[in-house]
Amino acid sequence: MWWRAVYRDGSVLDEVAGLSSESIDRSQLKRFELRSGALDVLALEFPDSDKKLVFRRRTEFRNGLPTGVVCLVGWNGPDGLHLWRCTEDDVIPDPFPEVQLVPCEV
Amino acid sequence: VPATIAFRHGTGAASAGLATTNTAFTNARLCTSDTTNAGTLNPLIVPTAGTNYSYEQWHYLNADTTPTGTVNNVKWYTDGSVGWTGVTLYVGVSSTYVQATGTPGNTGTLSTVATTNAGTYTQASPLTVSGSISNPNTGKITQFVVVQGRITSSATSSTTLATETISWRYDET
Repeated sequence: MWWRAVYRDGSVLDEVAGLSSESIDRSQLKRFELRSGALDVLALEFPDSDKKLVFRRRTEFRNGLPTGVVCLVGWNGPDGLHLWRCTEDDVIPDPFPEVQLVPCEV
Repeated sequence: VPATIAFRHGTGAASAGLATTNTAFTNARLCTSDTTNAGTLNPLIVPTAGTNYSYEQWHYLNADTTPTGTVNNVKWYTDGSVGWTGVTLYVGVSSTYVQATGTPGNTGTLSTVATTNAGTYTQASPLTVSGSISNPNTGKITQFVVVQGRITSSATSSTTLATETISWRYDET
């Protein structure tokens, strides 16, 4: 899965190697898409800048071996933290979102 | 490109809060020496009475390559039923490394860090491991997760204990 950020001026920032989601300008973000190939897994609209995009890849290792990666996508806003847990097959709300926010998300 | 994350086992004397030797590992084997990947050397010794201990093992996450953003929110947990007949796994965290001690080939010293039954930490209620790393840095990410086995006389001699499941997880921005 990879992400695409669409800004208010219509420009697009796609995830490429070496680019972190921290590079996304939250103040100008209009829409965030999590994609699998050319298909949207989840798309979030940011009509104003009081909601800050939150994005994580959560990796689990079991007995030293990776078991998979889940993407966490949502926002941190006046109403708190809201996240969805995304795999290529499923998107579910995270009832107990728990991440450590980085400065661009606050 | 996600960071390359490795598990490290610190052994040897302490130096500025870190171990002098930090060895990558995947599966840890409890033993009665301050070594990594000891195989079947220095096995746990079943006591005739009382309790023996494995040597502590001091584990941490290391970023071998830098993340594009930040790695944080590290957790450690079991499947809730970790342990064996007569052998119980204990765990704790520490920011400062101290070399594991004991009598090699016989017993470790009772840990003052690994004092919580590891089975209490599950995916739903994991152990929080402090620490994070951000681009462009590499190296040690977390504080140490210290594990130790406590062996009682009810354990069976001359057996290899089954592999138990330990999980780590972390977030990357």
